Amino acid sequence: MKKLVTLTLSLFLALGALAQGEIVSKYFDRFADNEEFVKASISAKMFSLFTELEAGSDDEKEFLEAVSKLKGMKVLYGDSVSQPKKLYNEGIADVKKAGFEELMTVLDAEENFHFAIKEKGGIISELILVSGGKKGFSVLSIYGEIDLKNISKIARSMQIDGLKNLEKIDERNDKND
Amino acid sequence: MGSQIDKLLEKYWAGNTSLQEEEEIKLYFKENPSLTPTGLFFRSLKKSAELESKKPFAHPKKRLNRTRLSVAATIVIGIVVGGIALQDANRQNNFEIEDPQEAYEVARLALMKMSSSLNEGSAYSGELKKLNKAEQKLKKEKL
Repeated sequence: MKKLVTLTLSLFLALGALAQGEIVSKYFDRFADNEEFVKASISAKMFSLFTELEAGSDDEKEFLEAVSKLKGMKVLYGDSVSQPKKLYNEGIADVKKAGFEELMTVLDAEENFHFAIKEKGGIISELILVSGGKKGFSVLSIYGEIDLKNISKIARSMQIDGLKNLEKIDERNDKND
Repeated sequence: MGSQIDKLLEKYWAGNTSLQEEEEIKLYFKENPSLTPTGLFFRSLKKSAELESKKPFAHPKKRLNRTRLSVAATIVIGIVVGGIALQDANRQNNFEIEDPQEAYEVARLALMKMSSSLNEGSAYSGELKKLNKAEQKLKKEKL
């Protein structure tokens, strides 16, 4: 009986691990065939490859430090989608339902965004960002061991205009195909 | 009776006695105490049969069912978890970036977005703190 309890507990823990990034995965399913959205997932294995890279500049150093303990990332982004406000509100509701704790919400004329975290024992295991503007909508999730200080440093050292460049990567891949 | 019991004993040692005949032998030696090894043996058999267990009787079938249930439950949980894991893995693979250079760029852009939004939020909270301080100062001056 003890063995069964132990086995069941370990299986549920394994399920808990699988649940990381689950919200973005739901959006992947929902918009799987919708070309308005760029969808990307980066595995733990890929992140482990990054840590083997040697940092050249300071911004690379900041970036590699921030990703060193990440186990995965999921991104869904669309800069011109139908009903972005509705999607944003649905996104926040999904995040709350999944038991995330609100970190901050900014309501801005250009873009609203909502940060939420999953925390246990003082360690943030998942950080999710839901953002919605007049036309765009995005959901980003990173999981593993997250240090907010390291992440906030990145923007100060890098000079790239956010997710708009994701479209360029996508276009480049289409050309290559 | 002596020759009859001898015959029964002969049959017993040959392994051919019925339960009733065995009971007759045991009863004989109980009623006619004998210090021979055969007598002691059958009396001890009779005594053992009369002993009652202190523990309540538990049907072995019940235990067997519990074990079977545990095994079945483990298998079902395993199948469910395995199914979910497989489904999740398939779903992730659809959009998983396999090119390290591309993955690096996407991760950099996504973290840049998170980072700039975090800083923007912190800046707003900084502005709010300033406003609150100013409001409190004004209130104090009015008083």
